Amino acid sequence: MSSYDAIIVGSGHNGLTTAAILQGAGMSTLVLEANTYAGGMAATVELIDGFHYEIAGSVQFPMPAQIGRELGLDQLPTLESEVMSVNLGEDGQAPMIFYRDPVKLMEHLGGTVGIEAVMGMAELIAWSQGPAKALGRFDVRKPPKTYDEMYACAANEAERKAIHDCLFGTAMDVIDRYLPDKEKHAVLRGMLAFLAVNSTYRGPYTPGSATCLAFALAVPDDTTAMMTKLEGGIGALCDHLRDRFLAAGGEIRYRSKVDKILVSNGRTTGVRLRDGSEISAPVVISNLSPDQTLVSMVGSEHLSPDLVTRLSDRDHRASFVQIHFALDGLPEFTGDYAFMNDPLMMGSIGIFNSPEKQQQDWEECRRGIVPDNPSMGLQIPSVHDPKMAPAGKHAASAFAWAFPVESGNDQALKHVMAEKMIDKITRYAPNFRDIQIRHITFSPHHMDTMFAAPSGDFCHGLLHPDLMGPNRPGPKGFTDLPIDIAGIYLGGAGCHGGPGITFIPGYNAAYQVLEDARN
Amino acid sequence: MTYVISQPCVDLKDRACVDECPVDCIYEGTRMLYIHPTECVDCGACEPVCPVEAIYYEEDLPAEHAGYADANVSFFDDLGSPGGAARVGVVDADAPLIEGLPRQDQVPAP
Repeated sequence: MSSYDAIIVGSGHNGLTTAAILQGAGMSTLVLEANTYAGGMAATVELIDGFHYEIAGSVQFPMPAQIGRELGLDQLPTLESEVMSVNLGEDGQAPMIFYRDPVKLMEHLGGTVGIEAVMGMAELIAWSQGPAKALGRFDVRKPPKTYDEMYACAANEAERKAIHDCLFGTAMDVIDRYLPDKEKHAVLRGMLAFLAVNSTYRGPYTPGSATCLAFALAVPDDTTAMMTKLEGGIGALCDHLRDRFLAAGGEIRYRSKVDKILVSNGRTTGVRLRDGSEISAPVVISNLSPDQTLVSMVGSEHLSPDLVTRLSDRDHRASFVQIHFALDGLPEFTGDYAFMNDPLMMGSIGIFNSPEKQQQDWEECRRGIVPDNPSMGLQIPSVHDPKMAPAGKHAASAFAWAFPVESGNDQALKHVMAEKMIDKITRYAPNFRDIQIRHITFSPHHMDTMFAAPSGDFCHGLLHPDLMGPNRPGPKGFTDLPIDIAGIYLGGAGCHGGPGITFIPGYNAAYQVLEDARN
Repeated sequence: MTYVISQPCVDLKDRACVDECPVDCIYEGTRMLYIHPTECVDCGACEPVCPVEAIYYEEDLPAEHAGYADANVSFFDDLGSPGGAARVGVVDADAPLIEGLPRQDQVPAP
């Protein structure tokens, strides 16, 4: 007799989504979490006493309205900052300030990059609509599509061409079409190129990079949702789901690392923890990456050779380094950048290289070279949300891309990269080194050890065209190659509906479990 | 709450944990390694790599090693919070509990 109806491995945003739904439906559900806290890569974590950080995810991207409503995720207090982000150029180009108010945004863009850039942006967003349907970016409870089904999503020939771009083109094929001016549109082009590579191991001129661009630009057609910052950081979403789950009678055990998902006679019987203890349940939902779940935790002896082959070689080369800073005050920007000294401007700052330089950085990082001037984001959430840091202090996080993730020398190179990042910030704000109390640098390797993100891959399978659609599994595996073990489900970011903080994979897994229980 | 290094490390100092620690908060004394209680960010990366299972989450420290939570604090009484072990190097000192122990490599394995 099992003690639980379902066990969920991992308490990230997807695991908690599944947990809240199953427990709410009356299933006795146990969540097993290896860390001391819930939320995984969508947690807000007090890394340094009094200083709170968003470790991987930091903004809530648009989600399907159905999921937001059902789980109450659309009711959480958000930070309505007048400025959502600022993108700085390197050569004195006018900055791009993303105002929340669309009229103000249009005025700003019209006055800096010109009206044709505004038109270009609108056309680019329109371009993403066909691909968003093809990728199933906002699909709920639908299987991933084959490539034929993706093309069939097109409402017209323009959408069909956009879907073709998305699968086979480069981000720059698309960006060059709508924002061709390398001087005037420089900051916008750098920002969009970065948007296209940040969940990939690609340069913006590498085929396949258009997929990530389309995924990132997509907006659902039933809401006007946009990127949002939450009070208390991204962890507020997970805290909400955790509280909902616990209030319904669910149980979370922390520091409980699952080593094995147990299988007997073609069905799961539960899990074995690292300490050797076993917990039984007829249903196990894993939020680890599909390959890690099936090959390492279930074991390839329980899988068909074809499924093992399908799961091999999933690209996990996420090339980010992140630094979390405790600051004794705010950076002071100088020269052309003095306008940044308004704290309103400091919430989220992008300093991205030109697309050409981003391509070069990526090609060089493949050969083990740390970029001299990395494309990076800097966020200081405490300027808008004072609870993130002690009074008078600030918590800042920087994320930089094109880290030589294949070098096998993470620990040494992360310090080299961190210094380049700090040098870069210091060029804009010369006091930045002086206001540091402490900083903590995480390499991809640490994302693996802390969150079981394979090789640091927070996507559980990068946002490449070959890992979307037919090669991104649903709750029961690939449509044409399902997991033939009863009771095992996949619910993590590597499933259809992911990657990102979309809640869709967890939602899909929960309803698949409930549907199978009814049948 | 933090992670704590306990008796199996004494006179062994494998240092695998030092390489694993993302925040460089594992300091080297004469006879043992110590986790800085406030510099540690509780990530747990060190625990599984220790070849002699000397590292415990403070709450899970077995009764026979109970004194090691304090030892990992008192080691830093004079050092304070240097903010990184690499720049400090080997500290020629140990917590009193460890100083009082017989040479552990002389003790046959149980």
